[in-house]
Formats: sequence, structure tokens, C-alpha cells
Amino acid sequence: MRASHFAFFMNLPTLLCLGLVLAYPIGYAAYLSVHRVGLAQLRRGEFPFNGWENYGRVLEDPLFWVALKNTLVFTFITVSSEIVLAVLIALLINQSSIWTSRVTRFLILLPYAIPPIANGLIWAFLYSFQFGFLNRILFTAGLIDNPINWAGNPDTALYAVTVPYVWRTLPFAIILVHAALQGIPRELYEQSAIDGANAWHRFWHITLPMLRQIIAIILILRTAFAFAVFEEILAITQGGPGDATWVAAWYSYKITFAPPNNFGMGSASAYILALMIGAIALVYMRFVYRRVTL
Amino acid sequence: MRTKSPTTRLLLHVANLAVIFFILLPVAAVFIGSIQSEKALQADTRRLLPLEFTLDNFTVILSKGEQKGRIFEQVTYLPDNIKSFYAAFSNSAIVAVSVTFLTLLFGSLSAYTIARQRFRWTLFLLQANIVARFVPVIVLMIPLYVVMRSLGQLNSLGGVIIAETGFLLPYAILILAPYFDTIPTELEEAARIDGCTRLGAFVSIVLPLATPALAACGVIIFIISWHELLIPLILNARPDFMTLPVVIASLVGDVHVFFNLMMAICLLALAPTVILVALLQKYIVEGLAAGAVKG
Amino acid sequence: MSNDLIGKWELSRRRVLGTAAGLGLAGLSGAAFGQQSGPLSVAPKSKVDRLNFVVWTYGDIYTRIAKQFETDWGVKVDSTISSFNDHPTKLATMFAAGEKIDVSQSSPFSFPNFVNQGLAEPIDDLPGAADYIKDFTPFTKQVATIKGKTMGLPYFSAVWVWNYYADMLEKLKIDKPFASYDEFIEHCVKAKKDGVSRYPILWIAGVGLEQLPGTWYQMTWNKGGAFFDKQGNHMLGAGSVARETLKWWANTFEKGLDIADPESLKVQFTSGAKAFGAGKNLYRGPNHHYGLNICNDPAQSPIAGKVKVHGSPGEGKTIGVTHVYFLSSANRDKEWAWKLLQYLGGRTKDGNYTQAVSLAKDAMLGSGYLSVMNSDAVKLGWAPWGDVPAILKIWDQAAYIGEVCSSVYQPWHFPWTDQLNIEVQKCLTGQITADQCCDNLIKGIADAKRKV
Repeated sequence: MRASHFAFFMNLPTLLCLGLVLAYPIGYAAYLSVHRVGLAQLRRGEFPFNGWENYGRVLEDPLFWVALKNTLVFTFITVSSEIVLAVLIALLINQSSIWTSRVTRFLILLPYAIPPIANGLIWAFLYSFQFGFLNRILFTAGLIDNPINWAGNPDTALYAVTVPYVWRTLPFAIILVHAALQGIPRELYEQSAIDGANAWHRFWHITLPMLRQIIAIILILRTAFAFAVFEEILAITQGGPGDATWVAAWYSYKITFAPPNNFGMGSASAYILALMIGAIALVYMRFVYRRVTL
Repeated sequence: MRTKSPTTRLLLHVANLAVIFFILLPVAAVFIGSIQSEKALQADTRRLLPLEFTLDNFTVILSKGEQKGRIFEQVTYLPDNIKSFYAAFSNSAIVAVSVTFLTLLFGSLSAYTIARQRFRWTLFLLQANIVARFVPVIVLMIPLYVVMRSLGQLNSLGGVIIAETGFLLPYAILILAPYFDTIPTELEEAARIDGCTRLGAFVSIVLPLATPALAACGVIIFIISWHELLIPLILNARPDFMTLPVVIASLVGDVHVFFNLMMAICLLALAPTVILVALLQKYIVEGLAAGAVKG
Repeated sequence: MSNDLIGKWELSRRRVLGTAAGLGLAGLSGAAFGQQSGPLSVAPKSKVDRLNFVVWTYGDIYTRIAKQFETDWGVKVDSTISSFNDHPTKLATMFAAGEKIDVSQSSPFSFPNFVNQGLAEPIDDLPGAADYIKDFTPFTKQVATIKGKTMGLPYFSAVWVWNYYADMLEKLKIDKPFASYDEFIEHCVKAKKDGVSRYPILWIAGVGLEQLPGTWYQMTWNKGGAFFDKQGNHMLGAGSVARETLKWWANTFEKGLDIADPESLKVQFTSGAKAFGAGKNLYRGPNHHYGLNICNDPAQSPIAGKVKVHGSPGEGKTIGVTHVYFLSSANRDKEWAWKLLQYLGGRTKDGNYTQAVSLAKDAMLGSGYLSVMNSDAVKLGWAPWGDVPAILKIWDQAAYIGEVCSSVYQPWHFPWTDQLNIEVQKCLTGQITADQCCDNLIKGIADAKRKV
């Protein structure tokens, strides 16, 4: 069989799946976003075209801008803390001469194993004002007198939701940084030790530059995913209190699936989110693809 | 490495303990939450460990609501979905296994062509997969629903399996393609000279050599599928087709919420993947690293 | 509470329920209403192999009633059950995708929306409907009648009441619960000052269609105000009762008197009842009356038996709702769907209001039928958890929410309520003033209309 035919048949199942599940729906969502689509229209199958009206309504909605702002704040906090923590913890578990480091290393993938929705619920329990586990720990340790309202206080709610998200996604970043650390040649460290450099110097001038690429990759990937955060919001705050934790994905979900079920407008808002993430994906492509020689 | 001073060692131990505490915090919470009754939770809101332990939460779930135990005896409004735990568990298992199998199958076929045959369009496929990874599920939900409906695959496991396979294929391809690329071509070339077909060479030579990558990829796909919420949530409305995350999510909005019951079911839901991760850590680490570094 | 006392409580409750069951069945047998046969026991001529309903979860009542239907008629019944907040979503998605739905349900807040979107069918002309309609309570009539047509049968009814923790009142040496809002503040401030309760008042202020909004609606109505006038103009302007009520309400939170439990912002009706059961609060703000079923359940609540019902100040004006079941326009077979609808919201083959009675006895829910409300199912069935005459007296003074907030009938009410929840929570936590909140909501009416 000719090479090109072979390649085609081998890829057929993949192409079908991707087409059915990704390509077509993305196109269809774009189609929906420029039509007026409510429940009755969806059932009848006739959608009147209404141009940019859905997008206009979304961009005019103050709640959308609040959601966008919250999403950006959330993303910034989670991604930056993830990177800092990942580097620090990767260095920590790299210390194989310390036995507690080996314990940590064994446990490091545990957060990755927890389903996001279950994680959200567990943290909802931790954060509960009256019954919460976190407050109980702090009481028992004598650190506080009165219960703290972690997720119910509009000033702290958004920050409170970042913690379970970082907890869950940190292992991924740690693994990557740790793998990258293994790739740094020992000679560099030994040379600088001979030159009399201290630990901080070694870190800042050798380790960190060598980690630049992996940090960039983590930055881009995690930013794209953090933009679409949903499960934690659903489980812990449902957007509240007030609008403190309304994020972009939650906005699309509510517009589409809560009455009066404006599928067109929901598709439009989801599309705006997808386009923003798409821009990040393009950055990723140019950055990684340049270096990838596959 | 130079030896460290005792202070440094101590600091590192402390740092490790802090990290271990952070990692174990939710696990401790879910465990302690699931072995007490709601009443015990409310009776003393400052105690760390409950006054009385009970396994009733688990009994209720595992006996499909038949045996209510002491704490739920009078309760009339036990969430109905609790009773379908076994069904949800098996649904999750069926979906995850099928998705893993299909993704590995289709993914390895594609990854092979991408690695070995450098046509313009296979490279384009690779790029498309890289970008496809970024698509948020939220934008796909309505169209996906309509597509599945016209195929008659709503309220069936088949629809969820197809959807998740499509969604996860990019991940698989991005882990497998670079790995295939590292396998030297001489062995296949030798086999082809001996009269083996391309496909034959692929199956008998490349696949066995790629077992570590397949294992790594498989475990990761399984875990992601087990955890998936939005796709089964939208596609399956009936309790007999719900997966575990959907059942858990349905408890969130439940007006009659029982924290302890929720913790119990969360514990049961996370057990399989935790065990999997504990046993197959090595593979997961390799898979994650491979999938990201090379894009 | 000692085990001995709990034991006695449970025994007496069982005995009461047992008697109630006996009385209930006897009291509601066909003989009392003069109809044994008739439309109820006749099967439709057409044949269906299955039916379905789309509802939100409530224990196992649906498994039971589905089984009964199958036993009585030999037709399999599928149920699509989601959580309460997810239900409109589930229904919308299924309807949009062209699925067959025979019967579904709705809260009064979503109902006008569903009817507007064409999801429900009128039932006036169906056999036996007229008798049901005659038996509707006033609430039910107001919810189920849209544009002159009857669109549904009742699921359950509830009125808004206050709760108080009797033991704490005793400890504070206060004789009676508050009779005016000023007295209310006095009691709470005293409780806080004396160190008896850090947060004497637990409000129902969690996000929802009738949770947070319900509290605001109820208190505004009780003080003599409303949200929209008969012409549909808003009544949220400066100096309005609604605005002043909100100001007063926000003042109980942190930025004011700080007597309101922060948990208020998270609790819905049932979770509020559970939170109250921890015994940390003196009063529980306006809530569905059946919360007492939880607060006074010895297996659920550490303070069971100590929570009492209390009416609202002044004339005791309060609000109530009826949730309904409706016949979906996407049904397979109208006659069979009507049969199924009756099992959920009307009479079963044996002529009894089976579902309504068991909900009253087991979960302290009110019914949309006068006959059930006047029967022993309520009078005796509710007794273990609260003072039935007191609750029924409150019931008499309850108006349907539609009178307080007529936007309920408009399709834009839903997105407007989303905004209401957000703005009011911001106000209660002191991020914006009550004036700003109301002004935003006035502007929000136009925004909501655009989202439709």
C-alpha cells in the first residue's frame, strides 16, 4: 500500500473522532453564537440569524466583565503561585539525602488522583463557616477564637477558591520541573562550587536559567486551563457571595442553562472565552513549535 | 553533594512536613467527615475528632439506601442518586476502560504516522492536536449534545465514550508521537525488507517497544476519564447512566445536603484513582513529563 | 438530651404517625368524596410502552410513586431526577434536544417561563380536571393559572414562618418571641451582649430563586410594601418599603449591628434548618415552614423539640408558594401523560391523594389541595414537629408571592433574580449601600429584558 494511503487509513478513526467531537462542534457553536437560539427555536430547528447581537449583549453585560476580571485575577494568582511552589517543592523533593523528602516525593501525585468535583466538595467542607474542618484545626491549635468565613466573605472568597485549584494542579507542575531538574548537568554545580558560589547563587544563576523553558511551558499551559476553571466554583461557591467568584466558564454555563436559556448568547460568551484561550494556544504553538523538532 | 549543616537539614525537614501537611489536609478532611453523622458535626463545632464514629454513611451508600442505619432512619429525603452508587461506579469504570482502550488504539495509529511519515498534513495534524488540547469543554457542550442526539447516543454510555475519546485523543497523540519518534527505524526497515507490511511492522515491532509509553498514556487517560464531569453531565440525564462525578455534582445543588454523606461518597469515588496512582506512579510521571515538554 | 428522652420522643412520634396513617386513609377514602370510579380507574384507549417524568430529587418518593403506577397500570415509568438547582437546566436541555417528556415540575418562579417557552399544556379539558381545580387552595390557583388556563397540578405548598430556639429564649429570660421588629433587634442585641449567642439571627440569604429573594419579599410584604405595582412599575425607588427593608436588613450584618450569622449567605431552606439545629442562633429568619421537620427531628438535630414556630410581626402578613407538576407539551401520549400527572399531583387509582398525603405526613409539606390541608394528614401528621394550629393560622394570612413581586410572571424574572442575588449579597456584606443596590436593580430590569 502506498505510504500516503497507509497514513490516511491509520488516521481515519482519529480524524473521525476529532471531527465529530471537536471540529464540528466548534464550528456549530460559532454558528449558534450568531443566531437567536432559545428553547423553542432549538426544538423547532429554525434559528433566525441575528448577526453580532449575541456578542453585543454579552459585551454590554456588566456581569460578564466582572466574570472576566475575576477569571484574570484567579488565573494570575494560581499560575504564579503554582510556578513558585512547583520550583520550590521540586527542589525540595530532589534532596534525596533527606528522608522526609522521599516521603513527600511518594505523596506528591496524590492531589492528581482526586476528581476535581470531589476536591471541590472536600474543600467546601474544609471551608464551611459553621462546621468546617479548617476552622476546627485552627481552634484545636489555639490559633483563632472565632470561626473564619473563608468562602463566604466576598473579600476572601476568590482567594479561597484558588487554594483547592492550586492543590489539585500542582503535581503536574512539580513533575515537570522535577524532570527538568534532572536534566541540569552536575558539572555546572560542581564548577560553581569550586568557584566558591553559595547555594543562593547556584540557584539564581544556574538552576533558574536552566528551568526557563519548562517554566514557560507551565506558564502557558496552566494559564489556558485556569481560564476555564469550573468544578471548584460549582462545588464551593456557585459564584457567590454576591459576584465575587463568578468566572467566565460559570457565566457561560448560567446564561446557557439557566432560564431563559439563551443558547445563542451562551455560545457567544463561551466563544469569547475560547478565542482568548486560543490566543494563548497560538503563543504556545509558536514558542514550543520553534523548539520542537519532531 | 556537599553535606548539609544540621540547621539546613532541620529546615528542610520542616519544609517537607509543611508540604506533607498541605497534601494530606483534604484527605484527612474527607476521611474524618465521612465517619461521623451530621448531628455530631453540629453538636460541637470546635472539636477536631467526632465524639462518635459511625460507618452509617457508607452503609447507606453501599446498600443502595436499603439499610439506613441509625442516623438516617427517620430521614425521608435521602438524595435519590445515592442509591445508584453501584451503577455509577460501574458506568465510570466502563467508560474509563473503553475510552482508554479506544484512545490508545486510535492514538497509537495516528502517532505512528506522525512520527514516521512526514507528510504536510500529518504535521498539521500534530499542530491541530496541540491546539485542540486547549479547547474548553464549555464551548462544546451544546453542539455536542445536538450531535449526540442526532446519532441517537444520548443517555447511553456509547455517546459519552465517543465524546471523551475525541476529547482525549490529542493528549494521547501528544504523549505517544514523541515516544515513537525515539524508536530507531532500523528494526522496522529490516522487517519490511523481509516482507512485512507497514502495519505488520508497526504491530509486531514498534508497539511492543512502546509499552512503557502506552502504559503511561493509558493510566493518564484513565484518570482523566474517571474524573470527567461536564461531558457525562450534559449527555446523560438518567440515573442509570450517570458516572460518579455526575452523581457527586448532583449532591451539590441538593436542597437536602448531608455533608457527611457527600464526604463518604467522595471517598468512595476517589479511592480507585488514588490506588491506581499509588501503584503506577512511575508511568504517570513519565507520561506527564512527555506530554508537556515536547508539546 | 438523654437517650431516655429521645426514646420516648421517637415512640410517641411513631404512635402518632401510626394513628395518623389509619385516620388518614379512612378520612380520604373515596367514600368521603363520593367518587370511587369514574375517570380515575379507566385506562386510556391508546397504548404506550413507557412514560417518563423529569423532576428534582426528593428522597425516594418518585421511586415509590413510579412503582405504584406500574403496578396499577402496567406501564413502565422512567424518571430523570436532578438536583433542585439543576432541574431547569436539565429540563431545558432535554426539551431543546427534542426528547419526549411526559410530565415535569416547576417552582412558581420558573413556571411562567416554562409556560412562555411552550413547555406546558393546559389541563382544563382533561377528564377529572375540574374536580381538582375545585379543590385547589388559593395559592395553587394563583400559581397554576396562567392566562386564564390551568397549567398544572400542585406538588407541595409552603408558607414563610419564623423559628426561634425556645431554650435560648428562656436563658435570656425573655417571655415571648418578638412581636415587632424593634423588639426583634432588642432581643438579638441582648443575646449578643449577654454572651448567649454570638450571632443571634440566622437569615435565609443563600443564592436562589426563593431563598434570599424570599426573605426580602416576605419582610417587605409584612411591612406593607411590594416590589411592583399593579401596572408593573417597580417599587424600589428612594424611600420605598422594599428599599427601607433592605437597609434595615443589611444593618443586622457585619457592617451594622453584627448580629447576623455569616453563614446566612450560604444557607438555603434545608441547610438553614440544619445550621439552626446546631443551637447557636436565637432566631431563624423567614423560611419554609417544613424546616421544623429537620430542626425537631431527634436523629438530625441536637436541639430537637426546642425549635418553635413563630408568626411575623404586625398583622402577620406573610407569603407562600405552591410548586407544581405539569403536563409537558413534548409528551408521547396526552391521555397517558395526564394519568401519570395525576399520580404525581393528584389522585391515584384508588382515589386517594397518595403523594400529597405521604408528603404531608413524612416531610411536613403543605398541599395545594384544600381537602388535604384540612385533613388529619396535616393536623396529625405535622404534630410531631410543630404547633399545627399556629402554622395553619399563619397559612391563612399568607399571600402568594406573585402579589408581592409580579415580575414572577415575566420571562425576564429569572436573569433579574440572578442579579438580585448578587446585588443584595453585596449589600448585605457592606460592599454597596442599599440605595446603590436598589438603583442597580432598577437598571437591571432593562438588562434582564435584553437577556431574554
